[in-house]
Amino acid sequence: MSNKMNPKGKRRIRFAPCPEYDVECMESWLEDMARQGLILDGEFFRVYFFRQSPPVEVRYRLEAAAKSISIFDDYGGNPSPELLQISREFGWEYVTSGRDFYIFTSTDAQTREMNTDVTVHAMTLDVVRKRERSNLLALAFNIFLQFVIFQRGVLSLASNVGSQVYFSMLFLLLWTAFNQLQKIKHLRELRSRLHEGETLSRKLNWQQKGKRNKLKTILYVAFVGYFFASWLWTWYLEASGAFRYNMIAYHEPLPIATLQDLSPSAEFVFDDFGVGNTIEVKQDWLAPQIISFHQTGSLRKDGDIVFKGGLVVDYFYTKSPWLAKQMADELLRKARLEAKSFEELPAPVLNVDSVSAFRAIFPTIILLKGSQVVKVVLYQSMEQNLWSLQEWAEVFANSLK
Amino acid sequence: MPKKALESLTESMFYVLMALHFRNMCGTDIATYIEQHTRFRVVMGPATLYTNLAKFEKEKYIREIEVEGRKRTYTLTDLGRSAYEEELIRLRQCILDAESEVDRI
Repeated sequence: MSNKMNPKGKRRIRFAPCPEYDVECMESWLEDMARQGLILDGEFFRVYFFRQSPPVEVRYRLEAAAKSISIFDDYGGNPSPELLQISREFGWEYVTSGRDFYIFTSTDAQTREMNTDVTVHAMTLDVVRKRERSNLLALAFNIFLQFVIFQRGVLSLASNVGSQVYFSMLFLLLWTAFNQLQKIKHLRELRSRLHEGETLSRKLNWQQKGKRNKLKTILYVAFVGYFFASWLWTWYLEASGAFRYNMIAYHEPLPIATLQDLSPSAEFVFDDFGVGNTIEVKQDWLAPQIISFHQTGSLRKDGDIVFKGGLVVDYFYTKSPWLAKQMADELLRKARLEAKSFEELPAPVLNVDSVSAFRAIFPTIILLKGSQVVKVVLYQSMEQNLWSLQEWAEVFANSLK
Repeated sequence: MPKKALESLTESMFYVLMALHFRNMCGTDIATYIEQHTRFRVVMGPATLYTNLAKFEKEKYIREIEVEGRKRTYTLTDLGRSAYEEELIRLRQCILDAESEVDRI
C-alpha cells in the first residue's frame, strides 16, 4: 500500500488539477506526484493527502464504482471485499476513493493492468455516465420547477427570500448542470475511445488543465460560500425579526397611504386583533424598497365611525419601470392562481400607469406608477357607509409620488 | 454504436463462462484457469474479472455458492450455461464461415 512506503513521512495537501472523472489526467497527476516523492494517502472532498517519501515509480488506477461512493454504503465507502481481495491477489492495493472512483495503486511494474478488456472497462465508465445522466435529469427537473415558480412569481419570491440568495441558488444549479454535462460528454468520449480499442494515456500534461481547473474550483467554492453566507444572513435577519416593526410605534414616512389617510381629519384608533399592525421594511437588489404592512383599526369623526376594518399593503419600489411592470403582472397572476375565489372587478379610474382590481375574498387593487408597484387589500367590518372601491383606491393611487 | 453489455460476450466474458462451465470456482481460480487454457494469451486484470463477475451475477448467469472470508465461489446457472453454449455455437459458425471462404478461394 502506498502509504506504507513511508508512513511517517510528512503529510502534504494538494488539490486535484482535474475533475475526478478525467481518469487519464488524474492517473497522470498521481503518478507524477509519486515521481516527485508524494505518495497518495487519502482524499476528502477533492482535497488529496500525500505522504512525503523518496521519489518512486508507482502506478495509480481509478476504478469506476458501480454505485455512488458514500460512507453510508454497504462497505463504508470502500470497494467490496471481493474486489479488494481479487485486486490484492494481483498486486493492486486500494488507497482511497472519491465520489465515483476507487483509487488503486501498484509499485510493481510487472503487475498486470487492472483492466485488461477495453470493452468491459468502457462498460464500467458507462455506469458512471448513466448515473450522472440520471442526476442531471433530476437537476433539470429542479431547474424546470424554478421556471414553474417563475411563472407563478419569481420576483415576489426573490424579493421575499432575497434576490441574491435566490439567483445565487439558480446560478449554482445551472453551474452544476453544466459541470454534469461536461462530465457526461467526457465519459462518453472515453467510452468511445475504449470501444475503438484505444488504451488510456498516463502521460497527460495535467499542468495545463490544472490552472484552468484551479480557477474554476476557486470560483465555485467562493460562490458556494457566498450563497450559504447570504442565505444564512438573510435567514438570521428574518428569524430575528430585524425587518419587522410594530406599526403603532413606527413613525417613518411611508411612500403609500395608510388607513389614517382615508380621512385625515378623523381620529385613528388601532385595533389589535393579534394579527395586524406590523410592518416589514426590506431592501433588495431588485427592489431597493419593499414595504409590507397589515394595519387594523377604525377612524372616528364627530363621534361616528367612518371606517372600521383593515388594510394589507405590499409596496415595491423596483430598480426600473420594466421590473415594476413585471412585478405588477406577477402579483395579478399569482392572485389569480392562488385565490380560491377570484372575481375581476371593473378597474377604477386613477392617476397611475395601470390598475387592476379584483376580489379574492376582499377587494384588492394592484397599482403601477413608474418604478412603483403596490398591492392593496382593504377589508371593512362596518354594517353601513362602506367605502366604494373608487373612493379608497383613489386615496392610495394619489399617495404614490 | 456499441452493443448492449450482454448482447454478445467479449472475449474475457466468454472465458469466465467457459471456466465456470466445467467447475465451480472463485475469482482468482477463474483468472488462473483462463491463463492456463489460453497459454497467457488472455490475461485477466482484477477490475475486468470483478466487473465480469458482478455483471454475470446481476444478469443471473452465475450465482454465489460459497463465501469463505473475502473469497466467493461461483457456479454457472442454466441461463449462464445457455448463454455460453449460444456463444460457442456463434463462434463455431464464425470459424466455419471463415474456413468455407478460404476453401472457396
